[in-house]
Amino acid sequence: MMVIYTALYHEASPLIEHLRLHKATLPAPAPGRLQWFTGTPDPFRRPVHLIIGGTGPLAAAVGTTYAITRLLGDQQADTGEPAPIIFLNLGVAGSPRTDWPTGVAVLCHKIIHRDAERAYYPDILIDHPFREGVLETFSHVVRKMPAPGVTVAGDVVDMEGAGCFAAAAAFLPPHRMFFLKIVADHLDLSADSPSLTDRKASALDGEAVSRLIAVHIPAIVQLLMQAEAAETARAAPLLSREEEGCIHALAEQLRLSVTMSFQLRQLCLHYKAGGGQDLPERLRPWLTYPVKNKHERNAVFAQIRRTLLPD
Amino acid sequence: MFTHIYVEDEAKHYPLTRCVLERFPHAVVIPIDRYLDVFGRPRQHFAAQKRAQQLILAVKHPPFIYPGAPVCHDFGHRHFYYTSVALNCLYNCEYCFLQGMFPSAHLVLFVNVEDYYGEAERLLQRHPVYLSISYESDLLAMERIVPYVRSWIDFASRHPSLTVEVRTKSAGYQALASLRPPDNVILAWTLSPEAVIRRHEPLTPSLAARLKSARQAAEDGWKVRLCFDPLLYVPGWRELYRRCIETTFAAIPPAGVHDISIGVFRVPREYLKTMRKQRPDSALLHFPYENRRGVLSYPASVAAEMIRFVRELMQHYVPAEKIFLLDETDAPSAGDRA
Repeated sequence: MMVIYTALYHEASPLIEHLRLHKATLPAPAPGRLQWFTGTPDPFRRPVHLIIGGTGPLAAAVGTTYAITRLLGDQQADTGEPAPIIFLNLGVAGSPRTDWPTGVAVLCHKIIHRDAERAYYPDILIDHPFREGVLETFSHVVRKMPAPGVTVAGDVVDMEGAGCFAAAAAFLPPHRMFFLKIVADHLDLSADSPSLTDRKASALDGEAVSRLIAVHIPAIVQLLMQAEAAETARAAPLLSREEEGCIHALAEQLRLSVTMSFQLRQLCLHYKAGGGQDLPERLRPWLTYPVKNKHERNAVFAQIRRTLLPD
Repeated sequence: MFTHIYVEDEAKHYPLTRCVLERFPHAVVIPIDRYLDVFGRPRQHFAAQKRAQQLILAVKHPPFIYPGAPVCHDFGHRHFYYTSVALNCLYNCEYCFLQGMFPSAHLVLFVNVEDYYGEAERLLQRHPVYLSISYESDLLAMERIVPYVRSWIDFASRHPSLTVEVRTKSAGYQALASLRPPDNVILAWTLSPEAVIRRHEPLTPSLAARLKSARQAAEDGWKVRLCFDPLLYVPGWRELYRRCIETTFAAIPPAGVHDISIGVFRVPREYLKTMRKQRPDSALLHFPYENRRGVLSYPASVAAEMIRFVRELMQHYVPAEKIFLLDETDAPSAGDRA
């Protein structure tokens, strides 16, 4: 499933409209003014969850953590197969690079947390149509180019990326995290003419922000679909819930020791991985087999082993 | 081949770094402080990364050379060491212990080879050294990217008391064909039945291609070692290994073989735990192995039968003293490293 984090509504609205997401009612306690939109739009097989969590790395970390822990909790309660979470942080950003025009979309392969002096590295393992660059996350609004002697290390600067990464990395592998920033200004505005990152903070000129994002919606959807397809292609858990249940029941019925239970599961995994599609049928004859003592148990276990592991 | 190359700040001025970057002019170059910032990230997915492997260029800090573990076979050498100028490999063998050992599948190349040579020279002042240089990688397979093997051979040719083993599954002998074979370098090919290669050793050359390379090396005067290691307990293994051995000695005259090693699949318990998570669909890794002193391998009777069977076939071609057996009861998986 997809988890998309944006700071402000105007960054999210093009996706909400395109994917026809609806606002979810959050159970208390929900953090701050966080908004949650969800749906299972056509191109995707799994639900899309879009979180609007506010500006700043701390808000980003809180919103990301809240969303992922809640979804992981739901997955544990669910009886279906768990779906891998793919995370995207989407938003506008400033750029000190004058050779990157306004509107360029940048997929970030390195995220520098300015305050913490740390760098994070998402794994970009799929093809994509975007320019790549380094994102630098500040805790404050970047009004203009820093004073002489102070450098901006990033190709783009924002206020959320590092917070999102630090939070998401506690749960997800680095190849399932994407950070896409659309260049909105070049940090070259005078102090009394705020940059778009200022506008983000004050939610001004939201329509301009939405227009910048909207241009890239088809490519963003394509990126997410590719990421989802790559995960689907990856091996799912070998044993189904039915088969896991069957193994558990058999271990109980035969009063297997902990070690033997582990060995039974390993035998079943080996059998299934080797192409055996009839595991429940193979195990079923012993599911009602009465075992009176350890000697009988060991004999039955040896029979099962021979059934699942022929020479 | 590599879409992204991470370059340590400390590594960027080394000639080897420039050499590698020139080979991949379209790759995105990402500067990093330390290679472990990328290589050591938590929750990386080895199998996913193998499908889009990326490159990390880094500077190794001491130690550069490690004593060979007592449980690994030393081929009769008293001072047995190994070294790793690269971590990970271009191939994707299902049973490879590296996927249980390293947190990442990305390929790390250390560019400060001169530091390795310095430490080797210090060791050589004390005693002769037997050094396996392709322990945690397959250097010959990536010789076209970075000529580590040529460099080590050049170093070995200037240090006669050093013996170097280069273990490989590659068919890349041509990269060395122009060199004069020094007496103290052993080129060691890991061989498997073709069916095993196709199913369990993705991206590696065929048996025929490996044998062609090994034969050419032997004809050119190199010491050639053949490693039937790891032997895999797969359906029809007897017939598969019988045919593999026949094919091998039809391709390479036994007189051209320096020696042979045999060992069954074995892996430290902690590594296998991780490997099974990385490949949840692998029948090979989910075999109910037996734990002997922290090393998982086939049941003792199965392992003994496989070793006996292969050794007997081998003795039709080469004298017993040329055959080295790895003690599968306690050795970690030395044989599956290439």
